[in-house]
Amino acid sequence: MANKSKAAFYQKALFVLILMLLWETVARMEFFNPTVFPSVTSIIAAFLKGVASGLLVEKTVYSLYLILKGLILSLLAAILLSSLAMGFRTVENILDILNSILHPLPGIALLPVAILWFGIGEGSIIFIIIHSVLWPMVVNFMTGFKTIPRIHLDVGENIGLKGLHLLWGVMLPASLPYLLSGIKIAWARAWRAVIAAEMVFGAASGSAGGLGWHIYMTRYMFDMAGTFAALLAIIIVGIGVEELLFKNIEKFTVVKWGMTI
Amino acid sequence: MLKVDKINKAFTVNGSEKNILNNITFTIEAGEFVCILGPSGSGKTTLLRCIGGFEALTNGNMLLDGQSISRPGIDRIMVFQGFEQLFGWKTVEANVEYPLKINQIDKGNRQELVRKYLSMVGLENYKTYYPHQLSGGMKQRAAIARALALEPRILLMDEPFGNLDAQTRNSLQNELLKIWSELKTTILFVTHDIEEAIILSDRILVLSTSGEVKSIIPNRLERPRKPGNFGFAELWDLLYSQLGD
Repeated sequence: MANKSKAAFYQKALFVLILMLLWETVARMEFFNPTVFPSVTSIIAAFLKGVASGLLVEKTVYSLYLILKGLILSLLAAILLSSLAMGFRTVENILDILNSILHPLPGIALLPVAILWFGIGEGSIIFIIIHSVLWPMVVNFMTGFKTIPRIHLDVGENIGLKGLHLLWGVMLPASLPYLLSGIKIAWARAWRAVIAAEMVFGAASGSAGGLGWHIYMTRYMFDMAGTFAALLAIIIVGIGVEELLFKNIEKFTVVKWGMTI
Repeated sequence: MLKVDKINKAFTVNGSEKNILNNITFTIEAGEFVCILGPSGSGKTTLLRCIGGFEALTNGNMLLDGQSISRPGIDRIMVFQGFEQLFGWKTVEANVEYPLKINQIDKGNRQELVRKYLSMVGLENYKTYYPHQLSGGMKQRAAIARALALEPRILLMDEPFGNLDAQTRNSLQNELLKIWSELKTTILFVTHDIEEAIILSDRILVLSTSGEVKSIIPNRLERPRKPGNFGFAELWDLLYSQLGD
């Protein structure tokens, strides 16, 4: 088992290394204009410079802060809505139609409306994030709740659990694999939403803006290495959250409990 | 004492009312071991679920020690057939302890009860295991320990050994009898297996396919009961004839 995952890690690392070498070679050959196709080394240099100066870190932290805020609000709303849907058929029907209407709507398409309603700034970005992640989370959570074995709920009722206690004591842990996959989808969606929204009006959000705005600005300044450095930051955060956070959460919960789906 | 008085239960199936339980009346004395035997579809499980408070009656009433039954409660604990009745996210120990915790039993007493009932079902060495690491028989043992720890007035068992191989079923039947003779818990046990009903019970309530009480047959065979023992075959034949309509 350990050997297998080690081998997988080496394979993945080797693949990334080959990809980087290939990129570097193409860039060095100046096959494309170096200003639009910077070398890996110059990207890494720009990345390190951005980290050292604190600029890239600051941008990343700001975007992460927006994501976290949007995710936590959506998570609470998704748990509330999907558990209400379990209790009341009407809520389920309403959620169903809301999901059909809103889920296909790209968050960025709502940006003009969001700007009118919440003004240019954090409020609008949070709105876009919530819209982008709430529906996939609700769908996953409802599937999770629906697949809880009836026997779990019977046992819960039998031992005296009701309402919120039943939700906390049985429904949430029993559907954790679905909750986690919903949160993972939400995390990826939130990144997309925040970068897209920031690119449109990042700096206007009062403070210096996040990574999306940084990507936009570096491109505007023709600092392509800087643009790729910002993309690299997104990738690194993404891998970090997946490999360190989600994998560990899974290891100590659903994997330990033999509940993987 | 459990008193079931003229209860009826109807479900709506494909738009039409279907009577599952028809005018069922019986009583169970404290400490008694009663089996409900019936062909599949006779409403055995529905009857047990009604007594458990999981299903509302169409009419009739049920009293446990004089108190009317309408909702699930810890005075009637159900042990199910399905292995997934244990909470997969809790260890064996935590599964047994959790119901005690939510019923406000203090930590000291809780640990004492967990220890007592886990050792009673022979799982004291598996207390840190998660359910998915246990065999089917062990899961059912843990579920029995969890039920017993709450010290219910009546234990409702819905074919708890139905998914086990013959050998495991046999040893769990023997252990259940040992526990019962030690604790004198009232047990109502649903099964479709004639032999199991004979081995376990003081009395056997036979349900007909139409959901009526066909007969209540006392079982006075000497314990421990084995298929070769005196009277076993006669009782088996009698029950078999009762099961066929």
